[in-house]
Amino acid sequence: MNNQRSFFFNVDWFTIFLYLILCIIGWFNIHSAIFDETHPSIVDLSTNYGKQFIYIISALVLATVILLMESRFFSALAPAVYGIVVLLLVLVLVIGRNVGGNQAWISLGGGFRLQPSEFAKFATCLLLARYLSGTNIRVTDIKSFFVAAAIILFPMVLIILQPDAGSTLVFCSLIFVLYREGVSPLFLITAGLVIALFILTLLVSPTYLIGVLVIIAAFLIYFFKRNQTMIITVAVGFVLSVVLIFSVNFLYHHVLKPHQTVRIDEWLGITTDLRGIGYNVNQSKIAIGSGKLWGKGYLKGTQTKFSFVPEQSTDFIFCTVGEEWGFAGTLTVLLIYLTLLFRIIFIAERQRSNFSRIYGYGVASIIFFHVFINVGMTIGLVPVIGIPLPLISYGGSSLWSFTILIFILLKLDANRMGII
Amino acid sequence: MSIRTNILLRVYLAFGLIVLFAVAVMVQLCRVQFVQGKKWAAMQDSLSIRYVNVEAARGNIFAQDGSMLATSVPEYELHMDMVDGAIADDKVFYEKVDSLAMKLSAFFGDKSARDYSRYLRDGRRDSSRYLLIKRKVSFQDLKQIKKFPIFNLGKYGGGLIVLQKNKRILPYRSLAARTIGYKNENVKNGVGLEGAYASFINGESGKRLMQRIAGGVWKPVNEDFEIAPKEGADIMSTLDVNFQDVAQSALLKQLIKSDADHGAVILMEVQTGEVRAVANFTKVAPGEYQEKFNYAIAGNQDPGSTFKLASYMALLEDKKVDTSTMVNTGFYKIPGHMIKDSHGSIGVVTVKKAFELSSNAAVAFLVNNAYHENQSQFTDHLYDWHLNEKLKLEIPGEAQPVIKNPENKSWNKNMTLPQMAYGYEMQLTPLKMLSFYNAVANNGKYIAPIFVKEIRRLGNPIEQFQARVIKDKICSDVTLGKIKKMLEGVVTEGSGKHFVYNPLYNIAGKTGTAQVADANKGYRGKRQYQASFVGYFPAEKPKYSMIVVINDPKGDYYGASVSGPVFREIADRVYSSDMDLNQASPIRVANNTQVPQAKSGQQKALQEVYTKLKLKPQTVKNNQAAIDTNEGISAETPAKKGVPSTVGMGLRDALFIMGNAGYKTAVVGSGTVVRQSVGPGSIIPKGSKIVLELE
Repeated sequence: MNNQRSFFFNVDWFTIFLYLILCIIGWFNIHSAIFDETHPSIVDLSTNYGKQFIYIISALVLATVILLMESRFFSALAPAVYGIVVLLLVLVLVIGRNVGGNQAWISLGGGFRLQPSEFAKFATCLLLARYLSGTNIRVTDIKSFFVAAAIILFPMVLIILQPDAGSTLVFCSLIFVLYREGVSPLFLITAGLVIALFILTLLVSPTYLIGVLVIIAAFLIYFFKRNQTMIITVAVGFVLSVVLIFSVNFLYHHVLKPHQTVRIDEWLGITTDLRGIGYNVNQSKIAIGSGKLWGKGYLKGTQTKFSFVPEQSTDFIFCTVGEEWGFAGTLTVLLIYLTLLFRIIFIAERQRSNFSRIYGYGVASIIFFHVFINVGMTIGLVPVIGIPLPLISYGGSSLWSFTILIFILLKLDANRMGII
Repeated sequence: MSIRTNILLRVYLAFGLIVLFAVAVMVQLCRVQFVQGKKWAAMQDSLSIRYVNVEAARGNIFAQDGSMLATSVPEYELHMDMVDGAIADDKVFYEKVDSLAMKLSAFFGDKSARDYSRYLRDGRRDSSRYLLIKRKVSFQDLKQIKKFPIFNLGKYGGGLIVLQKNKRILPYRSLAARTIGYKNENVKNGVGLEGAYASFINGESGKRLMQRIAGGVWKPVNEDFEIAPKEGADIMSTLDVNFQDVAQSALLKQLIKSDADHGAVILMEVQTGEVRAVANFTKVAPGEYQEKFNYAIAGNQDPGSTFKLASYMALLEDKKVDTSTMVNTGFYKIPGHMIKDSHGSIGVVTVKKAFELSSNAAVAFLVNNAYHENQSQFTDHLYDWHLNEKLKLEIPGEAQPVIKNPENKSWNKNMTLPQMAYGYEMQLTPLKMLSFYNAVANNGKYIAPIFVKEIRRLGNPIEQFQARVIKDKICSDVTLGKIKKMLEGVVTEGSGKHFVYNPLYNIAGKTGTAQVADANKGYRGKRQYQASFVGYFPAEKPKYSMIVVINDPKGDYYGASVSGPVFREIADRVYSSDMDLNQASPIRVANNTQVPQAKSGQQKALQEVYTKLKLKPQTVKNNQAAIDTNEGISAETPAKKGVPSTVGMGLRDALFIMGNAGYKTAVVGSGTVVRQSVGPGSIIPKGSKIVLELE
């Protein structure tokens, strides 16, 4: 082997640098978010920031192990890893511990616990990449498309049973992977339209909405009057839209859970309940808004202490950044994420093997989804969906999961020349 | 489209999407942090940390003898943070929730353990951060509740949130309740002493930096106050608990007997103007009366015959008549009206007799005859005696007296003067009338009554009050002497003879039976009367003056027969219990074998119990707070100013006695007091802490 000279030969150090920066930012912000006067030390192991330190160290060990592995293993082991994760997802439904209404954790003893849904992310990415990189597989074929879709949907079904809607939605981001591999843009557009229609139906009376749709459809049919296929497409689209509009009500009240619908109502401004469901976002906005340009300084946040913002160290960690480091801090963190994302796409695009490229896109999609949904919800841009901020939020499973995601890509990338 | 451009396009689209999202996030971030930054920052300030006014402990109101009439006790409201750190673990919570429910159920007895358990579990499921557990919990109870399962966990008591509120209590309940008054957040202006001296009683609220924690609860940031609250001052009122009690029960008894609408009694010390008792009762249902309205100071009415005192005083002072002047009684005709005596004619009698038997015709004639040509000469006397002015009491609500003069439009040249002579066409409050009689008793020195003699802060006087002198001498000594004789004659030989006269001591006073206007129908409706008796005792050396006013008695309505007995009863009790007046020797009985044991307690109360049970109390000492039946002979009498003995008492009594004496207490154990850290009679500063050991 030509890359045996060093474990770290050809490794993308820039990505590792970004990775480490994010981990450290996370650690310090967790320290600030749940600072406990009786245990001020950031490495005090009886506290969660002390635990996060352990998680970071162990994540680095994990990263080293991944870099030491043979890169071909990942493709070869993909089905096995996927199978194990699916088993764990089934297991968690049986023996899992219920925390905050979600049966998402398997207790490991000693106060540590495992969240299989976190590991489902990289397992799905691996299998999806392995399948789509197979010979004669083209995602534009109906059969291949459905198999790929099944690979994504299967863990989603198991996770929604926990029920953990946030983690389930993360898998939707893998549509981008399919798109990159050739699925028609119509697919994305349709998905976008469905979401837009859904939201509009909640905000506007169906009568008006259908009226507007009729006008658009009439205009399109007039525009495409010589093209029969397009007319049929528009007609079918129109009918489906109307069906969707009328099914939203049912969906909203019978499929979605009450705690989910109230979050959406709050986000859309249909209801305003600053003490109840809107409390988190409102407190989070107060934290971020009161940070101003330079923030209040490390450990000086007032919203952050005394647990004003629930889930401060996990889902709402970004508002600690906003409060204590201000706009400068949030901008820095976002730029680091953007750089990381661009770097990952850049890495993905420079791969020679389809497997590596597809996997790279999977990693980018998942991180992208996590970052912008999480940040978006803390500033009221999207409804509250409980998913962590990659590498920054408190939690071992999440940190390890993203570490594995990223470092498998780095290993594949380091070995890109080895693939013939 | 070549594959290459297609792929490139897709990649660019992917990049573009990321950038789009990033821009959206940036824009929103800028909005939150800069455009709306001020709003959120303001909300943060208003929500998380602020200075909170800390209400000062309100001062107490004491009776003249030091008994506590009104005080504040802390009362707690308990809430629970169901997701507190100490019970974050489901295991910890669900293991103990049932035993907590059982404890709460057993302690409060308002809900079953199952109901409590369900309530707590529901609260837990909803992650309630401020679940109400119980309102109005006492300090003693709180101490026990804090030891309950879950509440004994963690440094914040397993989620127990304790809010302190101060509750005002009147230890003597309805005693002088209307005069003590009330002041709370529901009324803008307080009433009675509480309202009048609110600025003293309230103290000054302090400021404390408070941090809002979960569930909208404010908790102090620092140990110390930024500005310490200044404790409210204590009001030493002039009221006497025993006299007040006597006055209330005597008045109430008569009100019920004559089914009157309302009534008032005021007892005042002649020389000092200190009001010893004020009773006000209004009928709320047949046979049921409540202290609702302060008639004593706000009940403005035609005084009737009691006003004749002023008329005769003017006549005597101007030497228009003498007590021996003969005058016709029965009726007196004025243009358009005939003034008649209600008891009929008694012929031609002396002025003194006419006063004693309360002849309207006589006084109307005398006044009209003397002043008809110069009517203002009569009213000038009344104005000179300031009868048309308020007494300027501190207590709010005093009614403005109305005394006409010839310049008034409503003045009728023929009718007003003779009507005024026997107390009509004017408005005076009972207290105003009383203070005028008090001036006579006080050898002509006319003073305004007072309800408060001292304000103390932490036991030290900060302000003392003396009765305001309205007029040093209302008339000559000669007139005064004659007037006094006339007033004494009312009781010994006149209208008061049957109901007020007591051979053991002398009472001087005047009856009054005024026809009062119905609020809706005026004088034309059903006749309503106000029966009153005002006077002083003992007549030779007046110590107390008193007025009794009863409105709309049914059946008998004469001042003498309705209000007279009340006056007599109160006067008798006051006279007999006042040590200065009554030099009766203290009771000393030393026969103690067959009497049931009693815990130490109020001497009078115990004495009464023993008397009711027809037992002879073994040892009763004057000025002694306790009777000790175990010893046979009481322990040493503690000096009045020293620490009282609470040994042998239950906690409630002990706390009360110590509180009354001005000491703070700490309590160890339960049962009865076996030891107190500072012995009885010790002289230590007020406000010192005394530890009571109970077993």
